[in-house]
Amino acid sequence: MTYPEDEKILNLIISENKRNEGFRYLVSKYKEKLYWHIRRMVDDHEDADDVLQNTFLKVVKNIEGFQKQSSLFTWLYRIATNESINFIQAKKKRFHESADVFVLQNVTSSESVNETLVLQSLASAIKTLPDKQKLVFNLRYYDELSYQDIADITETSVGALKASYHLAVKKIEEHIKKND
Amino acid sequence: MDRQINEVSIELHDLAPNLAKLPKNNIPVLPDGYFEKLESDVENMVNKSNTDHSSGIKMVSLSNVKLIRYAAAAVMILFASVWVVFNMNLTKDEINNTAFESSDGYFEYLEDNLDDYDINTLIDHGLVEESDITLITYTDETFTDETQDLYMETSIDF
Repeated sequence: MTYPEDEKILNLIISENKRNEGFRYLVSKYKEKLYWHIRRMVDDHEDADDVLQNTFLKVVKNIEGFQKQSSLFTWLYRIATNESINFIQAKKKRFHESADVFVLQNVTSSESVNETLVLQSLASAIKTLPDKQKLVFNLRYYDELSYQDIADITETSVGALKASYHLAVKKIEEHIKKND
Repeated sequence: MDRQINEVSIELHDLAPNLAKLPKNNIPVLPDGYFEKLESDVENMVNKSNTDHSSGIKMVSLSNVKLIRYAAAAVMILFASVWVVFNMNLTKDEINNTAFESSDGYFEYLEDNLDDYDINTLIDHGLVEESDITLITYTDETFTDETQDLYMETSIDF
């Protein structure tokens, strides 16, 4: 399915009579990307669903204040990231537990056993990364974003992000080699 | 976007060939039709939030009543303060007026607060008359009953 350009979606949202149509486009266009981004940060589907809905709610409430200093896409990612981090921190406080990121609890049975094991190894390797590095790794590895986009989302310099990602990749590579 | 994905992929191959071989599919299980109904879920949640917000407005309006009460109390206090200050000023003015209406107080004031230079300036500007100076100079203290009677007799042109 093809979606309108972000600029057109924004114009629809700003116009009073086509606001709902604009939001529907926005949700349809970004729901999957944002969901998986959030899902990699929070523990399970229910949590990811809550965070995603809160993210869209924040977007709805704040869209008129969107300054267009960054792209709509990075703005959405930033909100989703902040919502996820807030959720993780609140959960940590509530349950005094470390919030796992992208824990493969519900691995589909249709995956081959080998692939599942390898992916579980990858997931456990990602789990060992510090939170910020994990976020950078997910945005680059899974979402395949440019360093500039990640810099806009995380409000970090491109140089620092590159270093962070490279180190994360090297650590995970070592982990995979060891468990191979 | 494809160029971007390609860049990420090349970079990954260079950095971590083993990791680059792994599939990137999102393997956790999702409820059936989750993404299909997500738009309506979000829409419902936004509408619910708006409804809550509307009921919140009612609550705000209730709290507005409180606010109005506080505002009314504040205005009353303000008016009371203004009234007190005004009356204090009025009292001062009245005292001043009373003082100036009383020649004794007026003269005392001038005597205590004016030197010769000031008196000359006042005279030059027509603010006091020379005759006033006589009265200022000769206050009650300087007059004994006897001299005052004498002064009054000599001052009054019969």
